[in-house]
Amino acid sequence: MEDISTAKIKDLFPNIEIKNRIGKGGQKKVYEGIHNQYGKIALKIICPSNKAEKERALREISVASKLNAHFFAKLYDYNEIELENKKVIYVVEEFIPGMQLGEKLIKIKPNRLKKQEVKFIIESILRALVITEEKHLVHRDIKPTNIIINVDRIVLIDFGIVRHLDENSLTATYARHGPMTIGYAAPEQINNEKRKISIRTDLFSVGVLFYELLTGENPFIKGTSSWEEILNNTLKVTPEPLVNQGFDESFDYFVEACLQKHPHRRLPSAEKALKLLKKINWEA
Amino acid sequence: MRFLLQQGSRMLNLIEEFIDNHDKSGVILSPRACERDTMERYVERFRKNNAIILFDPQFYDPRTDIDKILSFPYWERYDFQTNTFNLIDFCHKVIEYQINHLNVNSVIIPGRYTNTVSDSWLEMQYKFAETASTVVSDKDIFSTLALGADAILNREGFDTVIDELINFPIQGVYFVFEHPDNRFLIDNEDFIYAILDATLSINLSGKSVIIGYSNQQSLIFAASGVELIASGNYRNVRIFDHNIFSSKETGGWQKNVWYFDGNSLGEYQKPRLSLAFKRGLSSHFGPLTSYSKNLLESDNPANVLWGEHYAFRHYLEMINDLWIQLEEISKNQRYNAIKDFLIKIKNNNEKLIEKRFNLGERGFHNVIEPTINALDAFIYERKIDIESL
Repeated sequence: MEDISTAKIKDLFPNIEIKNRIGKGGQKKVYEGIHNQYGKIALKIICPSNKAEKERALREISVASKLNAHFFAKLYDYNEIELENKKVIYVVEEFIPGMQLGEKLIKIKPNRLKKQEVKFIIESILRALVITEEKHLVHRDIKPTNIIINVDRIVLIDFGIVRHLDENSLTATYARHGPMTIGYAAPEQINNEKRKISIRTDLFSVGVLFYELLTGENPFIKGTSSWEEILNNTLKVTPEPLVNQGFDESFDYFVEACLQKHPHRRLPSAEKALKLLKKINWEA
Repeated sequence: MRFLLQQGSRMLNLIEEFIDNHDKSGVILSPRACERDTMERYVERFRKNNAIILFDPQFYDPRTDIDKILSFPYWERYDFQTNTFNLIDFCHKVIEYQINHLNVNSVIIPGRYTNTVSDSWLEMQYKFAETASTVVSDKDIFSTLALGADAILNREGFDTVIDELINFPIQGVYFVFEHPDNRFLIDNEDFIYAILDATLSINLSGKSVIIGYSNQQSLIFAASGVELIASGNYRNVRIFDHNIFSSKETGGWQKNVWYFDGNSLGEYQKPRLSLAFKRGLSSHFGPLTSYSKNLLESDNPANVLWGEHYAFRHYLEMINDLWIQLEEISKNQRYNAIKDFLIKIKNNNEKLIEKRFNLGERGFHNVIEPTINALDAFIYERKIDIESL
């Protein structure tokens, strides 16, 4: 997608004063701006290259429009417009100041957080998942770069590969892998086993995140040199118990309950995960 | 918790009597055991005392040649062996029959028996569930899960079944399974563990489980949150065997009279019981039901006229009592009660053996260790999950 001039954007969105471009990736550009009604906003311009991409983008928007809660960015406006003879989709949403959790992990040394920070982040993400679960949504891409840390708020972003369990999957049945981020994706995503996708798929990623935030290392990526190794670890290897790294065994109960290879043995809901999180001995 | 009657041959009057005598019982009706007209006539007589009425469509073998099964209207026009078989249409007809002709409380949808889990079998299971979820809105839907022992012992395959089943758009699972080597009592602890593990996961996903074709060993499934079991009169409704739904040419069951003992979970014929009584062991047998009182209070059980009529009723009464009393214990603590119960059974069996009583071919002593071991392993592996029931 080619760059869009500020003047062009001003023409298209007279109510928005663009400040910075804050993101660019694939078919998407993101700008920070001030909206004369909503205040600080993020403007996303998406230029899907095919029908499937367009459908995914629209699904993401449709999902975001239903998630009006503390843990998600508010969606103000969206539509399809013509830009330089191409149909593009624009989205105006709440601008979340703060830092991506992924960036934070890179900046701090060692790359791990304090237990209380981990508790706050994981609890917030699980509360976000209670809401998505109620709406029959599976995020499918929970990872540090999709989490924004604000001063007193954790926000789950990027519903780009969200799955609505009541709607048909957009992934080809014959595809070897489902949409995912290697190292965080659950075995059923790796194997593209569509009927196994559920809230438990997200809880697997939460387990990985929990482990990584506490130890500074992703348990499936640690020590690997290829994506095949990471996939193999995710499918077959049980991470080293946290108790070996000085944590109380209650931390391992949570990890084990999230990282079961077979979804039926995983925690069945975000609510149950929250209950188990509360049982962790954080002071130990 | 509910104890349901699994309809067997010549069981209609027994079912009616049982429902009369028990609040909150129920029945799983069986096409194999009963003509359609008779079933439809009797079903109204069963509708009392808050009884649950369910119907097993018995699609275990779609190529069955059993006339009674095929006489039910949803089979009309279908020939599974040709292209005329339309799975969705068939499912609609099964549901329509259950709702409009039997007014069932919940709908049991068809499920084909398999001993080898395949993608096509899983796809069929899902299609039935998906179809039912689009047409049934005011009743719970139960998927039939009918598996052979090999399918259950194949851990990866069985895990896949449960991984998918927990996401089906249904409210429950009617689970029927064959036992390893077709033994009436299961002595394979891996197998018992697999059933406990699977049923716990199904329960935790918010779906109910009915264990069909149950017997005394099935009481342990209360530990994994199962609240509904079904058993019946003859042994062919106390253990699942897919062959009896396939062809008319199936072997019969021995129809000797056996006394089922709630204290030892074994079954004994009158002559053996008499030997025990002569040796002063009568106090070891029990507890009494109104149907076993005469037998157990006599000096010599061999002399008591105690036939099939009493044996069936006593067995069902006893299993019902043992099952229902677990209701008083919270669901996530029943595993402790089951463990205590099994230890008690083990001690009773050991005492009888110590006193040179031969527990015989239907004694529970051969399966008590594997049953306890499986339960222990299950509690060890999944205690956190069990306690979150």
